[in-house]
Amino acid sequence: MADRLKLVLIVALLCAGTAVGAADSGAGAPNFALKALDGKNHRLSEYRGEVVLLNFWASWCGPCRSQLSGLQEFHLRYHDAGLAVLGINIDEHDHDASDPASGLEFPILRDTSHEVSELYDLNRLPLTVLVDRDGLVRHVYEGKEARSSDAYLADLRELLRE
Amino acid sequence: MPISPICENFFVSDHSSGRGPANYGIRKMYRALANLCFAVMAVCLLALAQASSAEPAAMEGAVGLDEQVQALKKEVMDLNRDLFILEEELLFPANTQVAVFVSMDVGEFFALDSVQVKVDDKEVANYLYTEHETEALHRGGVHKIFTSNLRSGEHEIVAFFTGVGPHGRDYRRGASVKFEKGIGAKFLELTISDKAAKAQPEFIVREWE
Repeated sequence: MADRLKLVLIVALLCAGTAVGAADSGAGAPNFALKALDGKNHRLSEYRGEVVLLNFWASWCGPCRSQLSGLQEFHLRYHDAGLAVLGINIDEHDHDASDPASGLEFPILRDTSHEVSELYDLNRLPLTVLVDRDGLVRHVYEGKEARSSDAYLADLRELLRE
Repeated sequence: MPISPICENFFVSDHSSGRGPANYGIRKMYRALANLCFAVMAVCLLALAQASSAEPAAMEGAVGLDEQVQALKKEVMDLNRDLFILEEELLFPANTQVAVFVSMDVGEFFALDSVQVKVDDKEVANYLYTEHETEALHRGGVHKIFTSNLRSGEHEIVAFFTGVGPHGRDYRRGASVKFEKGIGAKFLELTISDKAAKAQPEFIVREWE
């Protein structure tokens, strides 16, 4: 029993020592729960087993708005293959988000308190994070590299094939 | 033991070729080829024998490896459980532990959206419930919303329930209870139930004995 306790403590210390940044590739995607524009609540951990595309955006960010149609296309094309697209809007008011989001069929979650944005180290918009089926952050695209959804299509398809 | 078609042809040729000196070289060549064929066959048989004896060994190896993997998985699960218990014991010793649970009884008059918990006027938990989670509560599940340490003495817990009430109206109600924290863990339950007579939801905070 004493040996087992020692082993447990060593594992615990190792786990504590290997903690990594929130949105680092390979790290576990920080869990969160947010309310969507349609009133439903979504929790990231409930999407375990699916590839999740998190896209942080705001209505005042032109490149963010222009990539929404591409994300909608991804949602339609790969939803059956196990892709969940979650848009995370950081606008202050619902009505700012609802206009650009009209016609989108994937959930638009509202991060009004910016708690989730902080969890994912949001510095530049748009920010796209690809989370694999095991809940690990695999790819992060920020700012310029996240503007075109085609830029991460190959990575996305690779994750869906896994 | 069947012989390969090429070898059979060689034997046929050898027997039908006659015994004249003109055919001697050809016969010799056939004999050499036949010998070569036997040698190849022998090598093949040997290889086959080795393979057949190696196959069970490989199978045994695979089974052994599978058992080892299973044992390793079990060990990891045991370790994980020990780690969890140890973490609970270290972070929340029984003397100071307070845990708050949320449960739902029927819940026809209330669609739960979120629960906010305040202990001694300090917000300690704010939880959004997804569809799956409320479904689980409806089925009898109990959700541990908050665990912490509190010193002995009197404390007050206030819970705010937000959701959609009767007639699709937004609903926010509070419930509170004062409790005495003594020696030993304290467990509190926030229950959402229906008051059929008034067609309204009811929110109760109660202590587990």
